[in-house]
Amino acid sequence: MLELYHNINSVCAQKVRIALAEKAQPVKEHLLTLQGDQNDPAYMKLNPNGVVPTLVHDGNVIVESSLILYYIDEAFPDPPLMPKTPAARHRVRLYNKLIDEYMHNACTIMTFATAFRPRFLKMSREQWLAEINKAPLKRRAEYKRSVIEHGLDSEFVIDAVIQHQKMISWMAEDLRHGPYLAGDAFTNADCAVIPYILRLELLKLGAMWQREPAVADWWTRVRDRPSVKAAIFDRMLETDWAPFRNLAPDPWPKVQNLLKAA
Amino acid sequence: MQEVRPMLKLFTAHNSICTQKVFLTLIEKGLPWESEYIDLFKNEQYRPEYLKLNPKGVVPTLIHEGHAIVESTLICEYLDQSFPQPSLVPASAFERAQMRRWSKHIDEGVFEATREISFSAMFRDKMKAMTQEQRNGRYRNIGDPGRRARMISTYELGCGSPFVEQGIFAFEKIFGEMEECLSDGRSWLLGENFSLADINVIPFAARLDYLTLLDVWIKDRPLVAAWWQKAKARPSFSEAIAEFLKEDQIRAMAASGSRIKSEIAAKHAEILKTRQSALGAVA
Repeated sequence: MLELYHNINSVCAQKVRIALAEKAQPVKEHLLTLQGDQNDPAYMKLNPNGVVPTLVHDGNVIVESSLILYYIDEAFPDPPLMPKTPAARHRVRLYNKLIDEYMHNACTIMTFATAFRPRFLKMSREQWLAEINKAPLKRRAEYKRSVIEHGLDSEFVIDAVIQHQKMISWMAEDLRHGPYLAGDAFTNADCAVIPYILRLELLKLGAMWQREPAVADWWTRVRDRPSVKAAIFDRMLETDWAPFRNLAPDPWPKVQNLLKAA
Repeated sequence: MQEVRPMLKLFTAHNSICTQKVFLTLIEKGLPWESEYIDLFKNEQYRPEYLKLNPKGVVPTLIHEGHAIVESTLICEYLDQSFPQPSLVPASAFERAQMRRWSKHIDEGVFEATREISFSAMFRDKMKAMTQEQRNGRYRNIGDPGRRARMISTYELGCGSPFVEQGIFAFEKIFGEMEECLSDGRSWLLGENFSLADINVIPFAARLDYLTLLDVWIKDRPLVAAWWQKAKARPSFSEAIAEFLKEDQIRAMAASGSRIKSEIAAKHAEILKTRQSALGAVA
């Protein structure tokens, strides 16, 4: 049996849900709010970093979304989500590595500087600091502290914007060779990247790929896939859309300036 | 039948930890390769021809069948897939996830940790001898702003840099997890078979050992210490790591590590105390 601990808006959970939908694997779901329940001792036993997703398969606990993607493909090989040749597989792994080492933090920085910031600003400073300091990953807590305090003026934002731009240029380069990121077939690279592009769109930053028609075409192609519809769009309730509606101020002018200066 | 020798070319640098991972993998698999040396202190890693192969400007890079394969962890997995025997990757999906957790731990914590600690011990003095202009040139060459900030901080503050402290913590975490993992009597990190999980950790333990700092973390961890003795006794260890180092390099690492050892040990003790109280608060 497969069990997934996740959250609808979590980018890391979204990529895993897409892969599970591609494999048509039924899964028992445990939804977390991520407003403190991720640091409950019972959950931290499964996932010591207190993050989602966690996959439990016949009692085996697998954490880290990129590793879960590889696991799902190895445990359920059909239809394949990894290319056949070692060189193409390497390309897929490079996307996962780029995301794990750079993009994920960059995405957190952009989201907490904009959409997720108002929730914290309604609390007292002590309250929100206490909430973010519960996370065992100290560097991520530091990023959150800075962007909750300073929004898009935080010192961390410029690098986060550059990381997103870098991923978009990787995508444009790879999409010259085929309709998907690793060639002719949809793979784990697409599963992993989709949530980050979606997030930019939700943050009204879709203009970041306006000069890359191949990326825009890819996005149209993948967002219409049944797995993406089932794993993301069909799952978002009004409460999941809410943080992204009426973003104020509009992040694009500032991000555009940062991109010009970079 | 004529033996088909794979054409593998590896861009490498002297005493590069990430390259040592790839050397270990090549040697354990009995694969011949050809090395091309990049002089990091002459900034050869930032030459445009090399950046085309390796956009981050780091070593190693593997060239195989016209493909440039980068990132040492991924190079090792690539080699195992391209040359499956003898296998260094476990058969089951669950064990593979464990293997990749160890390499992720290295890539996203221990790698930086080693760089900050090695840098404080070895390269800081070398950079002190440069002019400010030369140092600024070096900083500018680092494309990744996070990495640049870490280098500047470690240059200016040495062991007092918060990044060194994070590094000490990262090692504390991985060696603690190793001790726990080995407590069921297994020989290697994934069981009875030596795997890429071990290969990922070995060069980092070796660097600390050469700096004479390893016992700060493992003196009270008998299982990690026994694992380390076994790892060092493998023929691949001498071939991939020890034999590449000259006597004077080994002496220089020991001397520079000894100079910061008491500071590192004191910081380590402080971290253990604060972490203990943090754990107490949760319970």
